[in-house]
Amino acid sequence: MELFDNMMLGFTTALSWSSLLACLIGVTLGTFIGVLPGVGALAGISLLMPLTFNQSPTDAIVMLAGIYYGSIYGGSTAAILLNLPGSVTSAVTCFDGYPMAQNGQAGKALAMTTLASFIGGCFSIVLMMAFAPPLVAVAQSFGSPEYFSMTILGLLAASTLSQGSPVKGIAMVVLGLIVGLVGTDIQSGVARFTFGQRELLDGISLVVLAMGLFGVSEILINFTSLQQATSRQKVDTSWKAMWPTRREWRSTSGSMARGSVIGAVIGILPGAGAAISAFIAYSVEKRVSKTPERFGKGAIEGLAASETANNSAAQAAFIPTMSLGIPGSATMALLLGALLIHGVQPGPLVIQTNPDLFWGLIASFWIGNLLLLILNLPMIGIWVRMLMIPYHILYPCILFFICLGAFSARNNPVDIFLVILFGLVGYGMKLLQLPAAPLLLGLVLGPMAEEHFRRALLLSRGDASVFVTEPISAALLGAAAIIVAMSIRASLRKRRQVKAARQAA
Amino acid sequence: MKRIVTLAAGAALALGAGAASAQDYPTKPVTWIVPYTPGGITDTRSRLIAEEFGKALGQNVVVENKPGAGGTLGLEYVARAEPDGYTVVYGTLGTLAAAPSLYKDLRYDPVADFAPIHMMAESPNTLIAYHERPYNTPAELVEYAKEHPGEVTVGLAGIGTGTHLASELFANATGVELLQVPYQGSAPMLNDLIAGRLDIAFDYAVSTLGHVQSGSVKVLGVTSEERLDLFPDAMTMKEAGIPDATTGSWSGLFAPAGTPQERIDILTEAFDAAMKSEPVVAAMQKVQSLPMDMDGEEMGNFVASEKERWTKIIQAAGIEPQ
Repeated sequence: MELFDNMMLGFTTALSWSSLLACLIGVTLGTFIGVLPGVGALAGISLLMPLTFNQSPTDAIVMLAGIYYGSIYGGSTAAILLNLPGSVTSAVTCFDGYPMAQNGQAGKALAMTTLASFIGGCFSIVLMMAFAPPLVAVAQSFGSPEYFSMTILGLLAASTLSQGSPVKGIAMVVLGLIVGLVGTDIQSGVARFTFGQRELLDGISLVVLAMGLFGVSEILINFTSLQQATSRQKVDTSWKAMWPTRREWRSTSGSMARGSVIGAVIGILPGAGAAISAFIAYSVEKRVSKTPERFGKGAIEGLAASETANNSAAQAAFIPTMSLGIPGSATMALLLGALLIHGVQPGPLVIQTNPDLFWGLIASFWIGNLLLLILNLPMIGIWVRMLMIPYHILYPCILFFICLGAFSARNNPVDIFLVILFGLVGYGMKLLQLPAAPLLLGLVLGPMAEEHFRRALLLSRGDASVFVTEPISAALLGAAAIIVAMSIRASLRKRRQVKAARQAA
Repeated sequence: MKRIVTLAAGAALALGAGAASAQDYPTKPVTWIVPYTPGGITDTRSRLIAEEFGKALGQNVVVENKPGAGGTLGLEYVARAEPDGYTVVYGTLGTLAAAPSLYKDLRYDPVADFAPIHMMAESPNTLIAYHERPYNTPAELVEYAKEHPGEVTVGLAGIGTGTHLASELFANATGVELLQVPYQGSAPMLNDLIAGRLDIAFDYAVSTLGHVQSGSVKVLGVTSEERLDLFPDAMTMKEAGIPDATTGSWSGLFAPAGTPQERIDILTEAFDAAMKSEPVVAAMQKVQSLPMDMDGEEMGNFVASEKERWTKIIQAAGIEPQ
């Protein structure tokens, strides 16, 4: 009955008044931070961290964690309503969330997001409570060969992200890989494609690229056709219009289940993170769907899968952070820093030395997710009304926030120019009907693939067989091979059908 | 702006420096540039000290992150900032001593462009190894590495970082050949080390501690002058017969060169008080940083000598400036 004991301990800690208050403040602030484009959890947590210096370690970490997953949730709101991915994780939310909003289903998309996030979060929490220690062992068995094989699988899955011409999709993945080369080479320290600009030494920020390609280009497109659309359609904010229908529940239940599992599995790997899990969950969903052509045009299944996955991963990411002391992202590193300041040494012993903190944090996730649900369902109507603001008022405000968000990440004006440059690129891509999603994934996975490929070979002294002799890596590569084989078979069959049809005619 | 500063400085002189400048300065919040991303121990520590610093100064001290290019972008920004005493920066071994030989087109001079305020702390490195490796001291490691040249893998938390420099220094001092495996930050490096995919690494006491407690990693030695309280059994490099491998990442607070001396003095005094305040002392203890009580000319000379020292080491290691 270890699970039960752990849960009891967790909830007694998390249900104390101070922890509840910390949790409430955290998720509320996090939601608002997430809604502001570009102002991510990292900036939010670092700004609010000094507030926690006087709290107990448990309350401090509960509040900071609340800001983190609250902002991931809030990021989806801006993505759905304005096509503005406020964080990396919500880039995938844009794919189907924004088309839904354009079809007048903004309320439904937001409600679905709220519910899907809650379900994804809950799944991950149960998993953590039951299997935290064995999961840590799995996470630790991932070395460079495994990470490399996973990125290959992800890149192949990305080929399904594009709509229409596969050639255009592949071209965009490659472009993303090239953009990912910009910056300092990790292995040698050599500056690549920085053109002497020291500001580019750290590479191109994914958030800046996503805000430019999605948000700024959207505004540019609308500017060029301003006459016909001075204000948007009336939106229905009645409960009935927003709540998913029974048919939608049925069609998304499988998506949410798959999204939860994918999110939890990828979330526990340090260094993989919530963004990749959303990408992969979305690709899987498109693969298994009977109507993949609806994806990218407002498919509620795609939205549900990516939302459950990113929330599930966001919570699961705490497993390696807390129990290994290995932060999976900059935000997690910040949380670790906060723990150290409070005198808690993260590491494999944290579950034994600070059980109230560990289980209290996990229980607080559940409470925090419930709070998000209660807070946000009534808020949806208010968010959706934002769409009724006329364009000539709304767009300058959004542009202002985009620039602010781009600047705030590094306090560097170069990022403002970059976001505008990518906006122009995105505008050109829309005119040429080139998909932006594969480009983003190329940028996410490309640098990872390169880093791990080279490190794996370095550690194996140049022996490339490590990729197939390591069992996990071999399995991942096997799955990638199956995807390729399936695609070839599908295209061959299509060609045969066309041939047969032609012969019959 | 410059004229106002001159006027203010002139007025301060006319009225008798001490009393007048105490009233004239600081009259608005002081910005503390941290040239790294929020998060990590540097940023957290700065925010904690900033609070006490502000109390001693009688004005808020606002921490602003200006990360990029190994911290050098933030230093560049401050080197060009108005020298009015309202902008200060967190300078380190990496940005002030090593950067000139790591970056080709650095737009600041570590010695000429900054006025030293007060040193902050020194964080000694730990030399750690996967627990199953056959060596237990720095000397045993050297012996093993000499018998197996190029076979021992050493993790680097990034090219040009303090831990990279420490490992170059170690290799330089002992003449052993190690296979360097670079990572993006110390987290993924430690992950490979505790799983045994990597042999050794240079790290910091604070991040090493948890893994040592769990038994997956052992400390072979420390690079500080004296043994660390946390790892009393780990010998210093000096004890191990490798005195040239003694090092530690240091940090200090700097203002742009040309900041009026009265203002520097006020900042120095307030920072000294902050460093001796109870919360800062306690936090330093927790993260195993050794506070450095050094300011003024002594601090300027220290920075200049460190720059010279590391220029030689980096050139000897054959690292090309980028």
